Amino acid sequence: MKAVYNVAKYTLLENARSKSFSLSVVFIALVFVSAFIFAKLSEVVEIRAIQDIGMGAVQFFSFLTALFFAVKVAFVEGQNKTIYLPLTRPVKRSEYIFGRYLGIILSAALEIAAMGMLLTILLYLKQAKFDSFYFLSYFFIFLKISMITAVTVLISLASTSQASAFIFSFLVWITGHSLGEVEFLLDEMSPAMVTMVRIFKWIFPNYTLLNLADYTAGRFMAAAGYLPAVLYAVFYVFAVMWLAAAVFEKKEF
Amino acid sequence: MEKVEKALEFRDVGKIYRRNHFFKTAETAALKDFSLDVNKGEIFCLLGLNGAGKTTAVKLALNLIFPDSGDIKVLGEKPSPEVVSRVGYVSESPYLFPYLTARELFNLLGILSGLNAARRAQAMDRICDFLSMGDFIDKKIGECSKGMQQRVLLAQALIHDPDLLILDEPYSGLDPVGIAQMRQYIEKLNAEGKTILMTSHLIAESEKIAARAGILKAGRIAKVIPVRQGLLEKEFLEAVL
Repeated sequence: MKAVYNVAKYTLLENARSKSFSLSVVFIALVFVSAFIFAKLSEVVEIRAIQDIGMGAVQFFSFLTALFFAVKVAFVEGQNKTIYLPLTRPVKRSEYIFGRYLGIILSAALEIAAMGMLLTILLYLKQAKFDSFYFLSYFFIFLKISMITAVTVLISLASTSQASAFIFSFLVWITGHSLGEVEFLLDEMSPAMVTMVRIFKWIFPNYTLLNLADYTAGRFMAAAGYLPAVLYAVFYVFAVMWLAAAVFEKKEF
Repeated sequence: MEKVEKALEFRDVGKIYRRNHFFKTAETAALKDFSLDVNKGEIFCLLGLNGAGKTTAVKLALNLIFPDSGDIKVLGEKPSPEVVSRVGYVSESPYLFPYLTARELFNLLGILSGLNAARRAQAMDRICDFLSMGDFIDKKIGECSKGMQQRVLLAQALIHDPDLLILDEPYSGLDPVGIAQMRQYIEKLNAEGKTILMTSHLIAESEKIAARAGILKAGRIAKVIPVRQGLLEKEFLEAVL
């Protein structure tokens, strides 16, 4: 555990110093520009627009940053041989990859917190009230980022190029967001297609379960609240990271 | 006759690289029936042309890749994370973490090597003194010059005071002053009792410090010879051409 903790700590330190966090600056600019543009509209539309653009931007930029860090750790460092430094120490490969993963999601948490704080302040200034829903949204964005980071680590370990690692991870992100919509089409599909969609739902991260918009629409709230979604995300991350550790254990560098 | 202790043993080792591309597998034999002994306490130089298999042999010893056949022993044991804790490795180029300072890197690698805080501090003082790193130990590695990075690279290999030091092309990219400095460091470390295996294609430099040399040709050891001044280049060319 000591190795996992220290690898995570130094990963966070490295990520915090890297230029990748400058994406957050783009986010800040985007949110403020949109705030000024929508200030011309009515108050209700303005707040809704800032909220939607802001949440979308928090999710998209933290996704991009996590994707970049995950590909770097699991693919680029193998290519540029930096990985030789830790792997020529008496550390279990599984501990190393878990530590790196933890460091990346901690970096993502920091980025989401920073961007979320800014967005919340902006919305407070417009509305003059705090809404706890925002904090829950940031937490669910974090869960989604944790899932896609684990998937990207696994994909990167199996990839033969940086571009394919990015592309496949991006496709998984999009597929994960589409699974819920495909469900509505099941009645129209052949039994074989239905089976395939069900298998996909087990393999791909089902982000519909983590979309707060669906919760507020009452789709899941009545059944069991947020806990099943949180447990699903945690279970998914552990399953994928366990697989990634098994691949990493056998991987040659 | 006194039995010479071995630091590194390769017995009939074979290694094939397999690359999958669109359901086709391309195979390249990097090492074939590769056998080699490195004695404890010596400086052994593995020479060969590019692609001869030098780095593959090093990676096998470090457990970074796994053999397809044959046996390898590092300090008397099969390569494993545990035995690797007694080995220091300096890669061909300074592959380091650019956003960390040298001190942070040594701290992390010291922890991963199982050193407690007191031993890490002691090791850092010893290494800083040995490699004159005091003025840049707190500088981000990415902002250091090539020469400084080379020293950081050597230092990280020494942080856990290893018995065996593996140097892959240690002179790569260094200017003449850097080469002379690196040679001095290697000699000092050997004088402290460390076994050194280095790969190189700089024959003149190898000749200056190695006790024995192994010449690799197309994945096999062509010959192992004691290094005699002025003769290594001739022996090397005879073996590889």
